Amino acid sequence: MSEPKTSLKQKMLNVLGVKKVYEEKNDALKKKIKDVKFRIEKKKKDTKIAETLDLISKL
Amino acid sequence: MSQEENLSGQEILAPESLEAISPGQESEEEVKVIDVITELEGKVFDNAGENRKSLDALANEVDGDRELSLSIEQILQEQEVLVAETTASLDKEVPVSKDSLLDFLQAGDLDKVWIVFDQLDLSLEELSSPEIQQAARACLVMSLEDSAGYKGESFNALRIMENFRMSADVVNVPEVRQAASACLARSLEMKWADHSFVQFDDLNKKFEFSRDEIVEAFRKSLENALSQTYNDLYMRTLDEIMQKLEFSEDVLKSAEIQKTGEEAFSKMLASRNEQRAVGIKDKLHLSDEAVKKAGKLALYNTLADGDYNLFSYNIIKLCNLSQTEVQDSVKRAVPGLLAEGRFKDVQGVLKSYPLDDEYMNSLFVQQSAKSGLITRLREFNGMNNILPYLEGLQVSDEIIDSPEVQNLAKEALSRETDGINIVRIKEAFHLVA
Repeated sequence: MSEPKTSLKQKMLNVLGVKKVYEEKNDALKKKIKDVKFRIEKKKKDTKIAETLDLISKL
Repeated sequence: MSQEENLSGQEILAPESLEAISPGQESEEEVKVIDVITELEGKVFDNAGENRKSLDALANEVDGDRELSLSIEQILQEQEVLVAETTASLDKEVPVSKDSLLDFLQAGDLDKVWIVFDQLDLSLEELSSPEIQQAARACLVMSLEDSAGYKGESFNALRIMENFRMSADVVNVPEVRQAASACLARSLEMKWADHSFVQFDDLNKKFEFSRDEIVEAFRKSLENALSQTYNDLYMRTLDEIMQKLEFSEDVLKSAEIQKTGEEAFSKMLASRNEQRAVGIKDKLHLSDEAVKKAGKLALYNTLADGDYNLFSYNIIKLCNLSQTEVQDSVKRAVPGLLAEGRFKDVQGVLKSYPLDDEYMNSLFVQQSAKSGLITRLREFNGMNNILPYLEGLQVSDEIIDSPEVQNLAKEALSRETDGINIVRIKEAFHLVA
């Protein structure tokens, strides 16, 4: 239950390390989410263009 | 300071660089570490919620695209792994000291209590120690008080009692029971929001409240629901609450509940909320005497505001005020209006609720009229608020001819340029040469 007194500084550094790693990985996740969003938007635009071209060709 | 990084990117401090610290510093360091852990855990939780929300929204837009759906699914899984890994890494770093647990308990900081508690794995003997039990009791009281001020939730209180194996003799002290009773009252008051009596049942089961304590909690919940911001939904579920508590209507007739109801009834009339006033009167079976008393006061206040229209009639009808009772309120309101020089309002009130000549000619009423006249005559255009109404006010010649009124009337006359008004002032204030 009791800890070596010197381990607290170490713990703090470890926690800060965990924080750093977490933030990096969470940023990477956010980038991936953004990428999916971009792909969805692009798909929507492509569909719209295809529909417009189709309409023009029928005129 | 020599440092290196381990495989997970965490910085490792070389052992030789670590200096010994004093017990006081150690405690401070522990708190700092736990602060950072708690903050990061909160951040992980919030970010996960935010990411999930974004991904849910995107999932609705993929329109059957398998590749996009798979990408979203994959990100969700990665996120779950990241949350689990980060939480596990943080759990490993929690300084597991009984002292910090005691500090957090005494501060009522439950988030940190559970972080440390989960890692400490205290034995039954340690849990039963007086220092832990006393600190847990302080934390329990704080938690109950917080819940009593919020939603009346019992979850945290019950978790403290259970995890710290709190015995009946530790819990059954006035301080704890009082806080639990306030929480119980709040759980009843919030019943409408939760659509169930779960909170109430949980607390009642744990604390085994006596009938008197439950009646008191009910009274308090009713009082809270009626005062401050009136709780319509509570009043609508009042029957259901009473049924649940197995109360007969006699409970509502207790002096304390009647007093609470009378105050609320009065308050509703004062804020012109007739419908709510009727609800309180009917549901709490307020006595005719109390209703009339509140009605007379409300009528007086309404008339004293110069309002003699529909609401004053509604008060009379709602409170079933007799002619004499109405006259009492009018007689109290009119002199005040006169003294302020609100002659138009006086005329309106008297048109709706006429008073006898004897009262209007009484010294008190005439003196009030005199004060009002003087107030208005001192105003530059005060005559405009006097001339149209003076005739109906039955102001005596003695007051009109008094030196103060005469002097002010002459001043007003000297300022007047309108020929018709000049004639009217001369006539009304006996200034005809």
